[in-house]
Amino acid sequence: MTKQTDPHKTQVLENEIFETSNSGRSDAHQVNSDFSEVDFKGSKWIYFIVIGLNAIYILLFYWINQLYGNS
Amino acid sequence: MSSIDWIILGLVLAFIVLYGLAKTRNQSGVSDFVTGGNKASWWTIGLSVMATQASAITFLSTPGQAFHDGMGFVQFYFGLPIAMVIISLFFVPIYHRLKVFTAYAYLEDRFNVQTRTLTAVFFLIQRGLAAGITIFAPSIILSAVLGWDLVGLNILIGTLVVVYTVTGGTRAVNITQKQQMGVIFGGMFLAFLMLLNFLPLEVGLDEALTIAGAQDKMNILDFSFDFDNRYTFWSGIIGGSFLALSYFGTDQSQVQRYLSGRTLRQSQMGLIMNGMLKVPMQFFILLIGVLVFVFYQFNTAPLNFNPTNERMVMDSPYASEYKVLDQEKDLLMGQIQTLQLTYLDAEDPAQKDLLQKEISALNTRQLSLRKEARELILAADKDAETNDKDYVFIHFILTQLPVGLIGLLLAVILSAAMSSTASEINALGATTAVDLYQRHRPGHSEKHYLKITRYFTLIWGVIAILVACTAPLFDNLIQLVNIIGSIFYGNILGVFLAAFFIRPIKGPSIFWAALINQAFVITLFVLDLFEVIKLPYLWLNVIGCVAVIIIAFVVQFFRGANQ
Repeated sequence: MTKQTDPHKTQVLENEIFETSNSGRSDAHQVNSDFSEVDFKGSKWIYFIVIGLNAIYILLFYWINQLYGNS
Repeated sequence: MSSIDWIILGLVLAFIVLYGLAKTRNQSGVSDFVTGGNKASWWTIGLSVMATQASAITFLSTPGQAFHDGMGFVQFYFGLPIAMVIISLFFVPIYHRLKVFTAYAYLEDRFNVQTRTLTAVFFLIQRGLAAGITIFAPSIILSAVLGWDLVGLNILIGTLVVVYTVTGGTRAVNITQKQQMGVIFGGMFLAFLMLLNFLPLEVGLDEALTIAGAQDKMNILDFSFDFDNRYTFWSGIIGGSFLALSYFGTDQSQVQRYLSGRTLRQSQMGLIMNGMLKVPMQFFILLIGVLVFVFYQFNTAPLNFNPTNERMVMDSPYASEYKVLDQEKDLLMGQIQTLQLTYLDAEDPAQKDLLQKEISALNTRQLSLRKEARELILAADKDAETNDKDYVFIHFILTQLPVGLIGLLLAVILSAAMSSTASEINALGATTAVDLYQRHRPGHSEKHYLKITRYFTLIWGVIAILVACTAPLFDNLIQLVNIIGSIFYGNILGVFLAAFFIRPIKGPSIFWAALINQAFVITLFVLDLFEVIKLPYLWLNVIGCVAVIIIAFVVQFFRGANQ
């Protein structure tokens, strides 16, 4: 009742993750490819956008800090 | 409060509750109740995730934080977008793939049932307390400023939430949170516009920020490694990432929001929406607090924003001394107002510099008057809570905003309280039913489990109300919730990170490591509380997370040696 899954499949998925993390292949493409079967295609750009957007926020705060700040 | 405000407040709250009830009457089973039948779109999830995190404390305490300490608190949220990306990439696909109802169910697959039960219990302890504080925070403040009965208000907020959460489950929580976020965004934007409108004609946004900056309120970023400073860029990026990773990735009150997504992609996009909007939203709320500060550079503010304190000291033998302080404060504020206008008109940098120093000196004197006022309040009642940060914004709302808008802003505060509480008791009920009851008492019918889940939701609603009725007022309410979170979150996150990424760690090792580590983290917190060590609470997240993994390796080593 708590979940609707096949325990064997769970183990397979975990092995995929462990292989990714333990083999030292940390690039985003490789990590994504291990999750590609779960509806992940074509959405990688959104992760760069969210980080980039927040980097822009921080730059904006830095600018406001320089403009109005007292430190 | 006028009858128009009462009508607006009543209509907004009644509409949200009745709409939530009407739309979600029929639940077919536990799946429908806990995950909302997996029908939520990405923007429903995004709004729901934001509404869950943004409690009434956010809207009462955050402007007060900016009023006193400036904009630096925004740094606390810098780690959140990083956490959103990590959770979307690694956590959500696994939860969706396994079709779990709770985050802790995954831990049984990976480790063992003991670890699942232990993390679920840790969650229930900290979230059960936090749910009470989520109700208590607005109640204590509204009861003080409006004279409403504290216990009655706790029961009212709790009961409204319990009614639609017990009946409609996750779908009712999602649906009502959309309306609540609409009220919150609309109300806060109107408050911002009114604040700008209330400033003198010569003072626009640019001038207001110049005035605030001259009084150290616009120091947004702090790149120092000063452990005495709770909010720096580094504590926000590192400590904030861990806290957000833990809160959004492993806290069932958030996990349950995105598990209700129609597809994996919808769940991921909901979290990404939060990652894009959270930092500017917090910046905006802090900016409102800074504008309140600027407003009170041109208008008279009370010596203490908590009206209960002022009434109490005026009825005490210290009333005459308090009146003297109040008169001096009024005189100072008149001088500050004149100098601020002169400062804005001045063009010579040397003159501006001189004026700024004079204004700073007057503001410093004003601060010392407030400190003396707090001492008088304490002399009149040694148990009085003199910290008035949480009362600054509500004081402004009630004394300055026009009729109608007061009712709307009170609806904002109560909506925020209800949206967070609903998610919390929804998750507490689900975790108790699924991870504890259902897991250890299998074999009953779907109807039985649905009934039990509703009972547990009701019980947690009652517990939250009881905690709210007995909670003492802390130094700063928003910090209290974050401190409770930090004590448990790091440990739980470490268990989940080990589950996701560290293959050699096995179930028995992580279980004992989690127990030992929790005692270790609580010890660190107590040592900091009694000033034996200096450790800002955000770092408990990092230490708790790393320590549980290290301890698990040590336990595993000794277990291996014994075997």
